[in-house]
Amino acid sequence: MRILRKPTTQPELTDDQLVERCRAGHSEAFGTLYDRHLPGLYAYAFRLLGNQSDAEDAAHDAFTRAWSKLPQYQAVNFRGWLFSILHNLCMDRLRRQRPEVVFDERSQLAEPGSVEGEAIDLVTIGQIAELLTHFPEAQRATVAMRMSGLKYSEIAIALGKSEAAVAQDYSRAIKRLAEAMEGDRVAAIAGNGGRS
Amino acid sequence: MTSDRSLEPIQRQLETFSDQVFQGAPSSPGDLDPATQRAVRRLHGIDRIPPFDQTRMTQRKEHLMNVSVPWQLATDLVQPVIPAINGSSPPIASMPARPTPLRRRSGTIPLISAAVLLALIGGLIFGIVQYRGGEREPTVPAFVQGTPTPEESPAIGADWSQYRGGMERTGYSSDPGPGSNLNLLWSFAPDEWVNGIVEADGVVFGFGDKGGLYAIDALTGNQIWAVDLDETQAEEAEIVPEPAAGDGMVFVSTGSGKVVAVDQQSGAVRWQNQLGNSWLWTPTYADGRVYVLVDEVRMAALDAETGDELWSWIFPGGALTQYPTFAEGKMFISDSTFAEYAIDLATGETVWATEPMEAVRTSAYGDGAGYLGRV
Repeated sequence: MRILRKPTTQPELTDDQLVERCRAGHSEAFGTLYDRHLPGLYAYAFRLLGNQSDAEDAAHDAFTRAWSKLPQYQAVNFRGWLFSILHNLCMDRLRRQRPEVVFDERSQLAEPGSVEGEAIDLVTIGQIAELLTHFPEAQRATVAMRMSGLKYSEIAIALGKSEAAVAQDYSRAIKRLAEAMEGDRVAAIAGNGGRS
Repeated sequence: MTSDRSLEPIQRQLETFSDQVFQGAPSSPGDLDPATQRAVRRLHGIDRIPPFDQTRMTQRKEHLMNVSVPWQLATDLVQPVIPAINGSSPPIASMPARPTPLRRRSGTIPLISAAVLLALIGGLIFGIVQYRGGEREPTVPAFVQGTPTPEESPAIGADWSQYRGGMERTGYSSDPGPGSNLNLLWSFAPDEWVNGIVEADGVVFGFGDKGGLYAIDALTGNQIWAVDLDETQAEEAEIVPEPAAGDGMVFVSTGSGKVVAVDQQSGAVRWQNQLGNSWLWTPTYADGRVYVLVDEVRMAALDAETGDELWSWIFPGGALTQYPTFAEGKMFISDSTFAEYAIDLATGETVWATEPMEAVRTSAYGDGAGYLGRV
């Protein structure tokens, strides 16, 4: 028996299928990849770099590098590969800019909201954002990638680590954040550089 | 790098919970402690990303698309064989216009296994994948090297001429298949939804929900012919019966209750028979006859050459839409009581029947045994 529901739209090509089309000379396929992954890349770059302009530049630079290096891509996980490029670009930027650029709190504070009915204290928001900038680089990157929707397995590809190591970094970061929130020790933890 | 063997369950729970929170979906904290839950939710709460400048980024993207990179030079030298995924296909010829004749194919050109097609490609887009052993060329994938030569072509396969490969519905092919290193060889996207496809003599046949029947060259993906059989095809029922190929014809059942036989080479309609008032089930070709479920009441046997009805078998306990199995001169079929019947293909008489069973129906036949699937 074979009664099938019609899909409302045609299925999208996978990332790897689009890459193959790019390699075949269909540059518009790369445009599709660009549109598909720009929001996630931009959000990740913003979380690391802290301002819109730098995040846009970094995300676009990542696509530019990916475009030029497309033949080198091995079909594992295109999104993870893109994030690995972007992560390195962001780290380069941070290293060049430190210590001036840490986090643009204004954009974070622009739209205070609530979580499950709980009003978020503006000071706490700022403190947590600041706290994140003091996390070890691996933890900060992992948290930012998780918030950008990457799975442990994709982060592992992007950061060149094992999935278990990524999971551990994330767990530690969350634990550190939880401790800070529970004990009102944000300033203290931020003050020691977040080193464990 | 992606192994999760060493991951503790609590870490996997944290991943899942975070995904749910970050996506704004209902979250299941599992065994996570309240402090961890609050931390994740707080992360989501502070994550206010200003939107990027859409206009600026679009301009940058378009600029990037126009920049040639060195590796493109290699691919510019050859013409890709894949038609645009979203491009329009050649217009469908309406009956009675005679479609473009099928070009003659070399007998030495190996055929592509339709089993491979059916296993790897969904209903909307036709595609073929090609296996190439060893490492791929880093700059020019296999499918842009031009039309595959016989030596480059995938496994030589027997026809996959109807649903699940043949009238025994085994879904089995002796072909080795393409392995795991897959490259899209071509795709074909008509302006309608195509469900099942079959393959015979190196030609793929697909039937669309708007009544278009397509013949596609299995090697190149080029459309050989297309005919518009019935504009009312099964649209409301949301089904698209698969075609069946045999005796140099393709048989389809339409939404208006017809069975239509189309010449495989020319696309010309050989005969049509108005059997019912509504959609018919997928036809089956077996030994010079076409069998089809009509109006969810009966099974009809037609002469494949003429379309004349030879006999009809009425479901004793009410019809059950299904793919009957054919073997050893019999049709094996279930009714709505889930009793199983063997029908003599020569006469249309019931040879034997079982007592009603618990929600099973015929699914396959092989090695002297019929296999029943639980519903």
